[in-house]
Amino acid sequence: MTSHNQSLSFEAMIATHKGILYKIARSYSYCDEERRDLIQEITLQLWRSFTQYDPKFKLSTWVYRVALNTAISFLRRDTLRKAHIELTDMSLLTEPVDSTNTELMLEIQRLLKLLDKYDRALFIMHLDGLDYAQIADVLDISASNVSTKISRIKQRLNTLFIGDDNNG
Amino acid sequence: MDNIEKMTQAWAQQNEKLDQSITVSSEALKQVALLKAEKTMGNFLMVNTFTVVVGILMSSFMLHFIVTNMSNVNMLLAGAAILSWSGLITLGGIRHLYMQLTLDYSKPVIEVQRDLTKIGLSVLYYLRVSLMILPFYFAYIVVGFELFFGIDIVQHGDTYWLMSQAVCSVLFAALAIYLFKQLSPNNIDKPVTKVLLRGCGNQAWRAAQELNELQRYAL
Repeated sequence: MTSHNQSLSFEAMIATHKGILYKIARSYSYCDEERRDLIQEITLQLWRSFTQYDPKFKLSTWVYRVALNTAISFLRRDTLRKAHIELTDMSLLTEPVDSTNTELMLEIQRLLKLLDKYDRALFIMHLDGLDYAQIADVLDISASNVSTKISRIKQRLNTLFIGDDNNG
Repeated sequence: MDNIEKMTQAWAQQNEKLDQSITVSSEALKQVALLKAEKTMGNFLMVNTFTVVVGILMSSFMLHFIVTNMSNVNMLLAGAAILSWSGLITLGGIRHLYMQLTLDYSKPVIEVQRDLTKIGLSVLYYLRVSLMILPFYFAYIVVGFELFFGIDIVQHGDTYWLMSQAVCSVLFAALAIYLFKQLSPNNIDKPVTKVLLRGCGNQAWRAAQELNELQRYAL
């Protein structure tokens, strides 16, 4: 594949999976600036790994792996070492203000951030509709382990949830 | 409707909205795509590269020392002890460098995070290997006397002095084994390990905690 074609395929891949990038970045960042940095880091990591993509894996599974690995690594760094990468002044993904920030979504984001980084990854994929086998494949744990963890997370979130019926 | 169901529905609605509302900046994407695919691991890459270079230099020097002192058993044994130690350090450095340079973010999350944690614990590996030289400290004395004064200290040393060195070696061996066992990421809750790990820096301490967390999570 020529580098031009590779760039086009990459752009197409980002356009198709922009939602995954955005949701993961929002769930693993604590302010707009961090979210922008994280989207850039994930995109850069996807670009670095793009040439090694093995088509026998589903592309969305591959995107989840790279994005979650980058987000968890981003979260693991302490503030001082957190690299503020100035790749570009432009935002890679732009979302109209408040298009999805309903009170209920803000509550969901708050709850997700109460989970530890691995449970958070697991539950984001669960909410995105991935089945246990797919989640197990992204994380490298057994499907039965995924099932147990999801039950526990649901129990925990149910008790922490403070939304009301008006939010839905 | 229960709370989790509400969350799931809201999340699905958000997905539809996001697909329509998020726009990708082609211009910004082109800038990212133009970047050289550099692997930046910062300090760890520098530490491990430095260790490998120093280890190779030291191993080469000790190999040369052994070859030139082949006829003297004392020098041969002392040189071999130091060579084995520097060899372990070099191999560890090469292994960590390889892990860093071949880290593939598209592998499963637990696997990649475990590899990243092991890279973060490279300082701990070097410290543990360094402890192994404690019982063989006399090898440094033997080689040092030969290099700087051209004297075989074992031949010229007093019997009682040599015996006291042997006793010290045994004591150091016991200390080294104890510290080696303590300096394990599995022991981070023990006070001695806390002190030793924190001495290696916060990164090693955090990496040890992370490794434990990962092990528990994957169970």
